[in-house]
Amino acid sequence: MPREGDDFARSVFINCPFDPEYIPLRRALLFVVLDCGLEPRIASQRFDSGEARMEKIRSLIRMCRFSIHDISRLEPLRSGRLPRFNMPFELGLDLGCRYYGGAPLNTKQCLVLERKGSRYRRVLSDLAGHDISAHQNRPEILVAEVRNWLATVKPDLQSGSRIWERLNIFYSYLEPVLASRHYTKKEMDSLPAGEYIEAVKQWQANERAEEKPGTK
Amino acid sequence: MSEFREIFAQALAEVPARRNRVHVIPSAGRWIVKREGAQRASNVFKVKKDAVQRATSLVKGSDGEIFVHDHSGRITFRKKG
Repeated sequence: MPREGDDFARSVFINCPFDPEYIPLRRALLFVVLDCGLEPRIASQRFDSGEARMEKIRSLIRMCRFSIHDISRLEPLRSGRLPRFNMPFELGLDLGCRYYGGAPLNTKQCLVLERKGSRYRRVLSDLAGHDISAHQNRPEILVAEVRNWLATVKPDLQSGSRIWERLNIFYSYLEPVLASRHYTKKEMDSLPAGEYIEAVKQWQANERAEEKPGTK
Repeated sequence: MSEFREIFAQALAEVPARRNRVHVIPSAGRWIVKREGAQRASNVFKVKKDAVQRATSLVKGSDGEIFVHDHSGRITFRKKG
């Protein structure tokens, strides 16, 4: 049973698509969580071929007080294929953990993100009564929605517009810095989530040092 | 610190002073011009072209640089003063 320690209270399980079209939204999602002082946990952060995916997901869900589930892209990647079931499946696991897990898992809180507010009411009616936030496929709106949700549990957050500006400024460092270390465009576009998170953290550390002259 | 983070930190340290970097950012249906490190936007414009023009004038004749962002936050254009 996880303890109600710092890690559990600060960790946010990220359940989102991994297709290339979603990258701008995924990067915005990871950034806003980090910029609100929390720790995103995402399955692709952990590379261990010996660990079954289901075990990885189970352990991530268990270690996070918060979770963000983006169910905006459940459609099949190609016509004639089945929809993508992973995201709603993991949302169900997370809710189950909260309902049946006992303390402190019963303190878990989640945010469900969608493209438009009411699109899934008919096909995922079990979620009726849960608030779903719509990001309209726009990173700026996603940043504001996630920030506003986190503000209900974490006081003194910066405004959503300020975090959006900071994300833009971070991007002005990310690609030039990677290019200076000979990353190709393809490698930059497919930067693993773990490395992206490390880059954001390092940039944040530099920003803090800039704000305190003499510490850089 | 991870090896990647160390590499990233070294490369970040080579970036020139941030006060000379000016950004044009889409925000709430407008375009803001913001100097890095400033608390507030220098200007807000309805039209992107006007924002880029203002940003360009802020770095003209200096060693500064402008960065124009798209709606995903990524840089679409950069230019030195």
